Amino acid sequence: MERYRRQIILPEFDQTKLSQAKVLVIGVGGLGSVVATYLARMGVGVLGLVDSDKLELSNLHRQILYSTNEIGQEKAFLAKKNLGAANPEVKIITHALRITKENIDEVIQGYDLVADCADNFETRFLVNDACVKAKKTLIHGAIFEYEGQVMVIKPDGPCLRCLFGAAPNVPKKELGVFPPAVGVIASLMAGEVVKLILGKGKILVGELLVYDALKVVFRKLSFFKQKDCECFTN
Amino acid sequence: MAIIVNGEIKEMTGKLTVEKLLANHDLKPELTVVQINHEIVPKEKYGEHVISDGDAVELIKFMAGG
Repeated sequence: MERYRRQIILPEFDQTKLSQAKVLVIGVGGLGSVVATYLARMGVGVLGLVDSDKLELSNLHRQILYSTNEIGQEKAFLAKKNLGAANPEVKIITHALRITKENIDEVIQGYDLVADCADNFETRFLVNDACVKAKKTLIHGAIFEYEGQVMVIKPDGPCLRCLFGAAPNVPKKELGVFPPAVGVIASLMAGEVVKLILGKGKILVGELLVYDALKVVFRKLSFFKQKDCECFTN
Repeated sequence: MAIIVNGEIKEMTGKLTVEKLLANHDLKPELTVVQINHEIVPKEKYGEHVISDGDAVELIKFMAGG
């Protein structure tokens, strides 16, 4: 327990709860690198990692789990290796696949919480719908250039569709991304995951927290379950 | 008239629709959710919905980057 001494001495910090939790991180890119690093180092019981991509040179400015000599290798396995070196006490499960409508239910099964660190709208809405259906709490984080947003979607609260409706029909294009904004949003996500596991503090449910790195502003806005949304009757 | 956009007070003149406000902010309608006084404005109403004095408007961007 020496490894966790500085967090165990926090008021009401229950390491046992953390060590029994099973968390799935979907996407181990910019956000996922940070979320998975905190969860592994803090000692969650089981950490699932989903990613089908191979590491590229242009990932390294923000994806802090990886190194230059690892380019070309599959991120899910690299993440497992690097996180395992940071904390061998955590059981890490790799899912080196792309999330689809067909496999999502099976992938999230067996996890208590899901952190959405994906890089596209399609996957994010698939994950939202599957979590709503399976009544699993989802921690959503996303980045756009110098900005980012976080929210927690609980089975009894509003979901991604209540706020955004459907995935926009726009062609995917490469956008600039400010790495420190990724770090801020991912840290907030990891914090919400751990607070949910511990049952501690206020959780960002029914609220979207938006961060603008250029203006150095955090904005929180409320949103509600929509009657015509799938999650309303669920 | 004075409205609040993303928490900041803005002075506006003339008739202002949601569509025009988005254009002023260089935001794409298909990638922006608009909340006025905590109610989401349906996308198909962006062209006709007129913003009133004192309205609190939130322009929320669709984001997917990870």
